[in-house]
Amino acid sequence: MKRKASKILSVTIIILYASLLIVSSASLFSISSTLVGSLERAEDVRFDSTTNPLTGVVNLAVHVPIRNRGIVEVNVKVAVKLISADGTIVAEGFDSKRIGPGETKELLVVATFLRGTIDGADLAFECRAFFDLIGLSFSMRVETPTEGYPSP
Amino acid sequence: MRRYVKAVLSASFYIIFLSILPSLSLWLLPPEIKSYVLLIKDYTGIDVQFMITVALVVGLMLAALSFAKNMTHEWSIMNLIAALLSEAIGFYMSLFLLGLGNPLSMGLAKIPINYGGGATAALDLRFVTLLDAVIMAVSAAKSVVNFYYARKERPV
Repeated sequence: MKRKASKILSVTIIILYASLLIVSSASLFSISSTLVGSLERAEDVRFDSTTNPLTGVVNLAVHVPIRNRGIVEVNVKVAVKLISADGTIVAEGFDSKRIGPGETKELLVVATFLRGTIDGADLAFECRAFFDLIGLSFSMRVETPTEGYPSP
Repeated sequence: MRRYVKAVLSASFYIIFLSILPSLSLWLLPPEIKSYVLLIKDYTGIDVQFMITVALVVGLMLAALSFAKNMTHEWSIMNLIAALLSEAIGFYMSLFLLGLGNPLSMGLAKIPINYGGGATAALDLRFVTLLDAVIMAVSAAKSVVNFYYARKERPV
């Protein structure tokens, strides 16, 4: 009886350890590969904007190509929050996509705001793997990203 | 004799992998790379030197507990206490490593990046922490089962 119970528990521990090792290494490898792959292609990030000269409304579209060089599917999210001088969120946009191993997809973040109202932006990048249970995220604040949009 | 050799070998394992190798690797690094490693603290708040010191202490504690566990009989209360303490300390060590030096973060390590602007990185390993807690619980259950049956079968 003792041997049987102990053996079952020992096998369970080995299975759990093996799962832990496989899941965490595959997920972290995929997340870091995707991050490095995306940073290498940072020059491919495209900014398109159109401004309505009458109303001063700016439509900003950011195209972010993401390449998954890992071995498991990852869920990538890019978010942009445009902030005014007093700290209020003027506009925000985000996009997320599931990217399989070896695939490249483009995330499109669209934000609409009034010209001259932006003082900074919060940028966030999040990459998760294994049913979104393991993840890595970056967020940073950029001051005056809209130098091309002076006050009317 | 066999028990003594087993106890020494298992204790050596913890001393080599947790106490000696991390300290030795930092000590053997070329000075330029070592200065970069130590600079990580200024830019991210991750104190590599402190982490290595904690690993050294935990390695010595686990070695002592492993030695005590292997030198005592399975039915002895000392054996059970050593086994349970080893699990608890091992779990603390994994929380410490997954939290990048902060075991209270429970696997969600937030790293402020000081490069002049305000940036933060977050490493979410809560699922790994949960799985690790389950492994600790099953290992503790195994120790209790072994102790219970060893006590029942103990020769009087």
